[in-house]
Amino acid sequence: MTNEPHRFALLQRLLHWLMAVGIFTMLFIGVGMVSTVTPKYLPLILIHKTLGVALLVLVLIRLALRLYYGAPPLPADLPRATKFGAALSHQALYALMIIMPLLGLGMLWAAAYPVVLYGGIQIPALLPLSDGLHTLLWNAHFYLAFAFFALVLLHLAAGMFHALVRRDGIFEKMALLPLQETTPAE
Amino acid sequence: MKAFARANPEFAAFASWAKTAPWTGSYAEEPYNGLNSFIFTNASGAEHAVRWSLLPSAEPVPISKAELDERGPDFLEQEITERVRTAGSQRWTMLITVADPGDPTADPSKAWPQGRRTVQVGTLVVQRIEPERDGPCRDINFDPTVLPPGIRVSDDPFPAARSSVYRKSYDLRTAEAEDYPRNEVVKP
Ligand code: HEM
Ligand code: HEM
Repeated sequence: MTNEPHRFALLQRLLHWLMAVGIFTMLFIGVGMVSTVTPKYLPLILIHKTLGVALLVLVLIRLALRLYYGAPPLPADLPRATKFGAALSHQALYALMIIMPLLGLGMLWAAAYPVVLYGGIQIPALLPLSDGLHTLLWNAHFYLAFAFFALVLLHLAAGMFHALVRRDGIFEKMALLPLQETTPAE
Repeated sequence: MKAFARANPEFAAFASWAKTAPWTGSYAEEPYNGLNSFIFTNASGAEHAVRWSLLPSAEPVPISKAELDERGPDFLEQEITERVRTAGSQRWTMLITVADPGDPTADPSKAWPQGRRTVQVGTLVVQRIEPERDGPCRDINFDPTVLPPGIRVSDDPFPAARSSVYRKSYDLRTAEAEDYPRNEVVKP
């Protein structure tokens, strides 16, 4: 497997960082908008819905790219448990990136709110009005948002650990620009 | 309530209005005046801040405070149900009042001066009364910022506040829907 690239494709890296910024924005806007009654509430929730749906589209593109390009291999000296943990947490991150927007949409559909995004784009409802379903999806959107935040922080910590402590080249695989010459000894 | 009125001096205007207005014995005989202002965009793209009113077609029959006190607690609801059932559809004319520059569009507690331009924009027809308890409206949040194309919120901060608070209350209320007192009659 010596011919495998040692970085993610440029498009994959761009999407990773673009979506990372988007998801942090979503988490903070989400918590911010539900705690205000000022006129800011309306633009905030409009951004939340629009950006959330945009991220759903992006994650699908991202998964397609992942299937097409694959991922560069991890360093051989990484313990098996660490590799397993990394794979599991990445799968969980992908799952949350897909589930969170769907829960947001589903919650609005189940309450019969019209879903209108920025620019007047309207998304038709795919779920019937149902108080029980609304409550379920609302709770899931709330609790999973915090689980998502926790996982992202853990992921960030792991990334920093690789970049600053282990310096094993894992961070460079996702970095937009090559950092300093810290490529691992071959 | 007293503490609320003291903390919110605008409330006094409503309290004195509520004591003096002529009373009727029916929802169908009452005018309804929206307090919030919205921006209407006309066909040529011009924008105007407006408030809307719904004016009854039914002739108002004034009744005294003493008469009102004698009626049951839910009489208005029973009356409108009975009226629509026996006398047929009830109508209101929708009228918008257009603000002049400088009118207090951002403060729903302040009336606009008399003599503003009004435009008749439609008719509300009530054909059927649905009970709240198991009716089709119960699980809908009437969010004042869900508006059709051509209408949007103005500098009045209250629709946004209402939207935010109604969303929260909707979340909490639908989460307890199982404990909601339903109608005793089993639906067919
Ligand atoms: C990456 C995707 C998303 C993330 C990370 C996210 C995150 C959040 C967070 C943190 C909250 C605040 C929860 C609280 O404190 O109560 C929230 C609330 C909300 N989100 Fe999202 N969200 C996402 C996508 C969406 C989408 C796509 C929609 C709709 C189109 C949506 C609609 C809502 C709504 C309506 C609320 C308010 C819920 C309520 O309290 O009634 N979200 N979201
Ligand atoms: C909302 C924020 C983020 C999300 C949802 C996210 C998601 C992901 C996912 C799903 C992968 C796996 C890629 C794959 O194998 O297909 C990944 C890889 C990676 N992420 Fe993030 N990420 C976020 C933020 C960050 C941050 C802030 C850092 C900075 C330390 C970071 C550093 C990395 C690195 C270095 C990799 C490559 C790991 C490897 O090759 O195994 N990520 N990220």
